[in-house]
Amino acid sequence: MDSVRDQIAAFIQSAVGSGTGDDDDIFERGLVSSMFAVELVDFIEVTFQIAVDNEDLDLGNFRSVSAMSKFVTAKLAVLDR
Amino acid sequence: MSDHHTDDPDVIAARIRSFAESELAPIAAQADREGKLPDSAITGLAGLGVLNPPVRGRPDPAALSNLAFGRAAEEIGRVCSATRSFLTAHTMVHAALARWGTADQRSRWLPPLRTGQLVGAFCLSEAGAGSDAAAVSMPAIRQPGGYVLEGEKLWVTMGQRADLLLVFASLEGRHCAFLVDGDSPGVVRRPIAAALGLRGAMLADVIFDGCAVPEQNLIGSVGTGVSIVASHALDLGRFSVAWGCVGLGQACLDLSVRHAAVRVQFGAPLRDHQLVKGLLTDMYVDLEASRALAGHAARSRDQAAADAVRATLAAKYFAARMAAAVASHALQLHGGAGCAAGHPVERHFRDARLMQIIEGSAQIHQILIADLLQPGRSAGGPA
Repeated sequence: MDSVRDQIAAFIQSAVGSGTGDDDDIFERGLVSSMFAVELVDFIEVTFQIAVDNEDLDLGNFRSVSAMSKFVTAKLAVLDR
Repeated sequence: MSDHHTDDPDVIAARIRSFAESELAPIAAQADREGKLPDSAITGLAGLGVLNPPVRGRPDPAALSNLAFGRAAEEIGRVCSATRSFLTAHTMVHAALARWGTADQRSRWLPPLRTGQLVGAFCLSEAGAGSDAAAVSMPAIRQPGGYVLEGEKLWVTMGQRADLLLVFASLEGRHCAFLVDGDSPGVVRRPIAAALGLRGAMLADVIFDGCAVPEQNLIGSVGTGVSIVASHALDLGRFSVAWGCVGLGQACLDLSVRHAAVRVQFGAPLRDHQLVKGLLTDMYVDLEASRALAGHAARSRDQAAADAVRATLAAKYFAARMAAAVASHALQLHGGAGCAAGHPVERHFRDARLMQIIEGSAQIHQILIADLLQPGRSAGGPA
């Protein structure tokens, strides 16, 4: 199975094209539309079987591949406990 | 809530159709004429469970499925677009709250929204922000214990009547979503009379004149008000508008088929004239295409498919265009009679034109859909 980072990177690349670095801020760079945020939350929840809840609602968690990987990994770690 | 919960969209649609024909049809023209939606329309829908819509990513056996909710919006839209417009705005507030509210917020406000005890309104548009939602600039100012809102929101559906306002504002340049009690000091409503369409949806501009909002009424987090909270709400809003357009189109087609069968010109019913056949055929085919797109969107949403957002946008974009075209054809077929105030075709024609503006204009839909089409994704069918 691909790593968390690889799955997220593949999704982001499918949405905004290649050439996006792991630390690129996809929102600040204007790479995604307003409705992409809805797709992104759906993707994270469905792919990793985690719930993105109110307390997770910090754009900092979703700005880049690195930030999303860190966020998802942390959520998965909580589930594994 | 309905005492007879069922997941069967056909059963739910039949119940809503019965209610729409018996309770909404008699008041639709009056609501349009007087610019007021009777409370019975709201409580009636609540009693049928329609105010408990699906919540994206949070399946709930007590809530309607997307397909059932869509079919309900269709049946309502077939009779009264103003009531469907209420449903759209109200359930957008529900969507934002149910998906991104805290446990306390959900327990406090969702039950009265579902029973219709509270009516919700979605306050996004401003003088400089509408299609460009990211341009929302109405200031929210921090104060001890919460925030103060200063500014004006435009074109608020149910703005004359709503008890609970979902308001988007800018806090030091970062977007926030707030729930505001409609009775709060500083909330001033300016009714919009005789808009082109959806007159019964009690449109108003809402002014926030030093309106204090408690800290605990912030939905989501600072900075995510538009990008996350509003986007989720708009996603559901577009879905219900799409189905409402299908209903409006069906009403126009039904009226036109009946009229074309009885109206005689040049010695034959209208329906026997080839040019009329062309109009009726275009109406039917465009309507069924819209229904298919709306159905695909519903199934994608119910299955949490990757193309659900795109499918919803496509359904709304196409159905809104269809509604305007079909209503225009219906008016053409009815001639002078359809132009008379009080005739249902005249009302549907005015209401239909607004469908390409509300919950994102046709042009914004074109941009959003195209932006979701990328080389790395399937361009057709489920992504």
